[in-house]
Amino acid sequence: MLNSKNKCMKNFHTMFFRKKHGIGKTLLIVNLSLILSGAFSVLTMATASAQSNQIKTYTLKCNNQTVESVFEQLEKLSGYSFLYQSSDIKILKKVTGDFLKVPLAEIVSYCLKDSGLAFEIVNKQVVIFPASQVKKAREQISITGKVTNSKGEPLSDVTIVVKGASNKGTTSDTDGKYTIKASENDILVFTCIGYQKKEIAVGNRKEINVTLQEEIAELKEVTVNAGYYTVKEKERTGSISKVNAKDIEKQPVQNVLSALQANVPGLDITQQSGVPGGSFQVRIRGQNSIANGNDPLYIIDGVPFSSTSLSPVNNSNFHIFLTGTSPLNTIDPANIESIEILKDADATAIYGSRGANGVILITTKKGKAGKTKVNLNFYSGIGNLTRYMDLLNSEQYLEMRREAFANDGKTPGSSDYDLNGLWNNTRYTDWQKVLIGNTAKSNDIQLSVSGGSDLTQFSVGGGYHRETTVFPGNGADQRISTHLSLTNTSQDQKFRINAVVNYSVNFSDLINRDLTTEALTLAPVAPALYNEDGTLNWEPESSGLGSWTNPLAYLKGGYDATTNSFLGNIDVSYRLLQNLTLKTSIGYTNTGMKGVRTAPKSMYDPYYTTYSYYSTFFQNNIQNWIIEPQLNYDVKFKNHQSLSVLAGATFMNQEQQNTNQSASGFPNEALMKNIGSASTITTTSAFNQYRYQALFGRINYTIEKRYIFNLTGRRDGSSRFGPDKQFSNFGAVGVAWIFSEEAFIKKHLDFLSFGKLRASYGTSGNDQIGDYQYLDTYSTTANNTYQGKSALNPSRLFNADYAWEINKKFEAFIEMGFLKDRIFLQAGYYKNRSSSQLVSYALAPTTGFNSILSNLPATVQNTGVEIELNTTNFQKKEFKWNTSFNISIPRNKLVDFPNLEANSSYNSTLVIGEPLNIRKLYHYTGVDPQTGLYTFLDVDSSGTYNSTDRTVIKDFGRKFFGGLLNTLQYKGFQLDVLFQFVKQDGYNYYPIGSPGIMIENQPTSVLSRWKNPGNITNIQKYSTDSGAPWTAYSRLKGSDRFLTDASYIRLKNLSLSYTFSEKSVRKLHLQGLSLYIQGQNLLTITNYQGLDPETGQTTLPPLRLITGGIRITL
Amino acid sequence: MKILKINYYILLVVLASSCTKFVEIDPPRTALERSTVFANQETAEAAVRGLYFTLNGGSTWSSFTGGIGSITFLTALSADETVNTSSGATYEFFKNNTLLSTTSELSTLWNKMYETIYKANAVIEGVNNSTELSSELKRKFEGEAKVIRAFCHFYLANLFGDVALVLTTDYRVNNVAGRTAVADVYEQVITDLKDAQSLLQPSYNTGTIERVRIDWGTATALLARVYLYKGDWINAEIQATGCINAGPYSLQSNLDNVFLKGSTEAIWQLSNDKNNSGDAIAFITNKYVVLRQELLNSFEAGDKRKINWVKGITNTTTYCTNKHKVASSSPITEYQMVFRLAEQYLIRAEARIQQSGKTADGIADLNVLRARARVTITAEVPNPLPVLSTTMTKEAALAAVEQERRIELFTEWGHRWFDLKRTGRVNAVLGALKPSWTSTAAIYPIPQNQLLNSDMEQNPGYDE
Repeated sequence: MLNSKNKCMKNFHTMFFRKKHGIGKTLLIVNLSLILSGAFSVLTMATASAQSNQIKTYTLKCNNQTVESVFEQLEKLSGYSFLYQSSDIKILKKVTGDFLKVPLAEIVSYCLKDSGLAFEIVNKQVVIFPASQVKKAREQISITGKVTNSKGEPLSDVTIVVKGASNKGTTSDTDGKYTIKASENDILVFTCIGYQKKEIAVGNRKEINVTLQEEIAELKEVTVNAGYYTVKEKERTGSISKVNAKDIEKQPVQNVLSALQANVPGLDITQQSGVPGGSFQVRIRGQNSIANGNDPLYIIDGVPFSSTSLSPVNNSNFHIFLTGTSPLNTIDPANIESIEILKDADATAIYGSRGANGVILITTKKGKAGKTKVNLNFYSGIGNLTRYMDLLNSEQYLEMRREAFANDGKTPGSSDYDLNGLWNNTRYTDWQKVLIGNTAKSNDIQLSVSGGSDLTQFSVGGGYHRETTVFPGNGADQRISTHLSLTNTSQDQKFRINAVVNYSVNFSDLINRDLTTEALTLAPVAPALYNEDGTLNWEPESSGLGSWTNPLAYLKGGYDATTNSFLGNIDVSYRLLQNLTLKTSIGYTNTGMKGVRTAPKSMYDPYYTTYSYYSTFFQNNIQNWIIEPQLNYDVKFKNHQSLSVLAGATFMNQEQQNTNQSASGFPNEALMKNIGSASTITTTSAFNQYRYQALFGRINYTIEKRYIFNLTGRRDGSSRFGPDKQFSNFGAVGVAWIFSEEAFIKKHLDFLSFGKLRASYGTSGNDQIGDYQYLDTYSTTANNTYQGKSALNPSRLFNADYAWEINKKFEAFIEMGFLKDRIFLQAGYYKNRSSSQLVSYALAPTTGFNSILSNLPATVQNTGVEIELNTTNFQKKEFKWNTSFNISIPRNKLVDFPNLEANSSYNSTLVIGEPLNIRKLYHYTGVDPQTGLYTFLDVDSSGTYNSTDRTVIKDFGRKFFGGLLNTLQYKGFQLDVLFQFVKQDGYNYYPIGSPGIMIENQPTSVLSRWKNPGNITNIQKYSTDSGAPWTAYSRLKGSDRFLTDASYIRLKNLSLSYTFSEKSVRKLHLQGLSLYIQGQNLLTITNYQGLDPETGQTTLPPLRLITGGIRITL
Repeated sequence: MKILKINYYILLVVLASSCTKFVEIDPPRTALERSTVFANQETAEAAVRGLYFTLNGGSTWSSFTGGIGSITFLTALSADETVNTSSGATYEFFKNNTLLSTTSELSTLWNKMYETIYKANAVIEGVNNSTELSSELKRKFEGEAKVIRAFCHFYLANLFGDVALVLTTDYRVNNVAGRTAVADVYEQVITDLKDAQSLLQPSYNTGTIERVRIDWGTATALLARVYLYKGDWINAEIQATGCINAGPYSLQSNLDNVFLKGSTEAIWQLSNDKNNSGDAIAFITNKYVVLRQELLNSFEAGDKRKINWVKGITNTTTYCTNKHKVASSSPITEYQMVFRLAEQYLIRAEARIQQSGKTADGIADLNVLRARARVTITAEVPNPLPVLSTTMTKEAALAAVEQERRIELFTEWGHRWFDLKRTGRVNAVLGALKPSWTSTAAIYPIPQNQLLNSDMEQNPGYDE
């Protein structure tokens, strides 16, 4: 018997406890210490408990049955659950006997006779344990201790209860001290908001001092949200990255996407403009679709959030943001609790057709049980441009222009205002300073209240954010946001409801043009902005025609836009049976943008007297409802296996409406924002409906907590496809093996604290193609009239046969933790193939249209390696240093494209075997020393330049990118330093015209131009000739000359905060107080010569923001 | 438990069967399906109006039929009619005949004309497939669509040389359409126009002032022009005569009235519900281009056309076209002229002179136009715009035709540019005038977007 026990000890890690494994786990620790103490005495225990319900009796007949089977029978009869160490029971001799109306305890006692085991019945549980533990088991002793945080400071208000006896509890005092009565077998549970829950077995101790860890849990204990279900970080089979509120709040950004940059492997975010509210390009593991539909799916609190820009982007003259505003502007980063990024097939297949490009799940803040807390956060700061370009000064500029005319043997004409005497040549204006060199201001204030009881928790908050730009003028982008979350659980824990409401209003009255182009191209000798009387100076020529476009004229144009965003979600769940839960999520979003843009006469050169005022009023609204019922079934089998099944359905309806009204005939400029004052109004409107339906399911099967299988599937229907093409099936399988749980690893590789191999394969799809595209329709708008009557026109070229795009994804990852997870490494490889490309297929204009929707028989492959390394470099009481590093190395490739060379619309832009994001370019071969003109490689020696000469193939995608975050903590100080790095090629800045040809400033690099025959240089001669020199320059733009290494390392974020100790803030009657300084985009190291390698040539780069703030908890 | 399971199963089955219904949505509120469009007289008529709407672009600012970027505007720069006032690079390219395949005005012209052709084909197909429309309406709609299709093909061939001939809405065919020789394009244009002549009625002899829909006269006028460009003198004369004698058309004696809406000289005008003509905006309001001195110099003394159709701007040293005169948006008094009777006289004059023994008849046609343009004799102008002699040589007569066309049709619809090209005079005239002239510049480059998406080859002398 002793031998067999020793043997069982060897395999201790395989021991398995039945039922509530949470308790089993703690008991395991208790038992381990007791067993190791080696006290094996044999004792039979009689019914010890005096609880009244044990009087109930049972009738049972046993004939040579195992003890285990007897217990199973008893479980069924009594409803009591048995908790025991299986290896203890298996060795017991079999039971034979007739029990007639015998109390439960007596039956158990009979079974355990001579076993060396004792038992106890608590809370409808029969706990069986070695008898050695019995001594003092029921003896209540007084336990005292002190609760501290990781810094050694006392923690007050910590709730301490005896597990299983919620009536036995206390809280720690201001010195962190507590006293509680408990017995040796009891387990004490310590809970405190912001700290991890801790359970400690009493044992034979009388004083128990506890240190609670702050809630930045160890990676593997974190629970991640996988959308329809949650999974422990440790046990997940797919690729899900999580970003917490703590990581987001370090960055003083308006849009949360900016805070995600450089933080998540595989997530490639490019900021499109430095103007507040500007958009971001977001790609998860590369571009899957050749033409469109590469945006990930955004889900906020369970409700899909449209990533469509609401601003009227189609009209390039209309709006400052050529790429549109980011819809996520309406989401206040301060309201976000966590963001999960789902990347692989295993994680995304449950989203079916919408998961092809990955899923971004945003969870807003929920209340937590405990004392009501009031959080107040305020910051304020300034923003600037970090880099300016070196442009010609007046002297150099005039020299260029004069030399250009001299080279051509021409004299300046009537429109060469810079040379013909009209413009004062002694002027010098640094237009970059004037137009984009101002200081932007940023202010943010947040107030939130949260708290609740065990059964009801709430969180209410509001915030205000205001940001201006570096352009002249007083425009600002402002946001007011509110947030409410309420959770209630019924007394019996069966019913749970959670309601979330987010509402925000965004106002913008920014100047309606990005002045970066003007800042770079206006001549340094251009006229003064204002006349002496304060009016705009147009510096007219003798005819009265203005000689330039005054850049401040754009300030006269008005722009006012308001975006309202409502998001509400109700989650109701009811536990039908112990293992079966019915849940329904009902969500609704309504996001609308409305605004007006005015073009008053004062915007224009007064010479053009016939301009009439006009205003454009626009209104765009997307609303969305979704209902998702689902059933969850969890079961644990006795042979170390557990099964979790989920089945659900989605019904979604989305409607988008927009109205554009162009109004004119206002009595005066002051009334231009009032549509009622207009005499003529032309309206265009659109309405789109999208319906989406799905059935989905997930089966998760775990064996011995080591082998995990995850099967997900979905059947989707989308209204975006024609009859018979609406439905498609998607599915994935994920497997994981936690090899660190294996005995041989534990034995031989004890430095390995965690090890997991996981892989997944599956499909998802894509229907991001717009609505009604399969219909052959005619449409009209109010403008479309002839002879005063409505005129109908074909809406598009139609193709009713297109169907779902299919995306197959594979990945394999390894996760390893060393030295108690102080070094944690995740590395993996993925390979996604997207076929049956659903694209807007570019057509020759001879078709009458530019494109048609169809399934292109091409395959796009995205492969890549992602590595994430987290290390705890120092972990002392007062000093901590953590480092996180991530790198993604993506590779995009067009694998297959039948007949690409023959007759495709794509043969000039795509090459099989190359990435999608390539360009075919001429090869630049220098400036001809004789003519002074740019020359290019004429591959076929034809004398002309065409596609056969475009032999240089350049990839404009990112070669690799990632981030490096160092977090240092010393006492109350915390310093975070985040570097972003990107390796890529890009176009350097190039001016619109060849040097000297027009009134346009040029970079100082043009100074090294060709002057005389024989000169060897890289800049062609100055010239005003629109013949050969212009042609050569046009070719230059299509050559590899302006290509450059646009890689960069950016000090993306630096955050320094000081948190006052709880002791000191208590004197101020506060719960917490911290001060901080944060900086964004502080430094960029790059060889790129334009303003910024991220935003490119002529858009406003991301600003350097420096803010200071205070965070108070009451 | 068992009962529950069965219930869920039933639920799932119900859900699954309701799927198909759920994702079937109503047609968009803003659109009609094609089959319903041509099943109804009202909507079919609206689809035909859509064709005209496409032609005038809904905006007088810029469409290929009028305004900035129109055929008229751009070819006047390419020829020897106008120069640009601003140094904007694009207009320079046209003025200097140094176009690039990337010049955006070219792709706009090209795309818009093929878009119009597509819509014309859609009307032709829609009408032919319709069982609900009356045969009378079917004939009318098909005839209008065919003239528009011919009109676009005619201009494409004259601007770009060999172009794609597009006769279907099938994008698979049109996407790979290659270049058809100009002669074959003309054959199809003639076929379409002859069909149209048989389908359409002469309609403007009923006293209506609106001449904004294509009728038999428009088909005939364009057919006369096509025969002329082809050098088929006999047929050119027949068609021009048919048009002149049709009845509803007569020359306006007052030159200020020629371009008014419903002008009796109009064979076809494009109306715009919101504005007057695009040409007035392009030439008068914006002053982006002014008339070349060479053109101004070529007016003979005592020509009313210089007085009524040319206007000095501000400093009076520069002049602009003043044929369409009203640039403001209301009231609408002028429509964009497309075909007018004067051209038919010029076509017939040239066709007659080219035939042996008809020179006198041809000169007579020229004299009709000169007569109405002649000012009253004054002391300063004792011999205004003399009557041409009917006995001059063929060469002199043809020179007179060129001169008369230059003056009568200046800055209208590319007449000068096309005349220089089709008479083989372009190198001599423009070579002498423009230093950057090359003979390959007579044909515009195929726009880059077309080359990128098809097998088409670029015209000689241009990059892709």
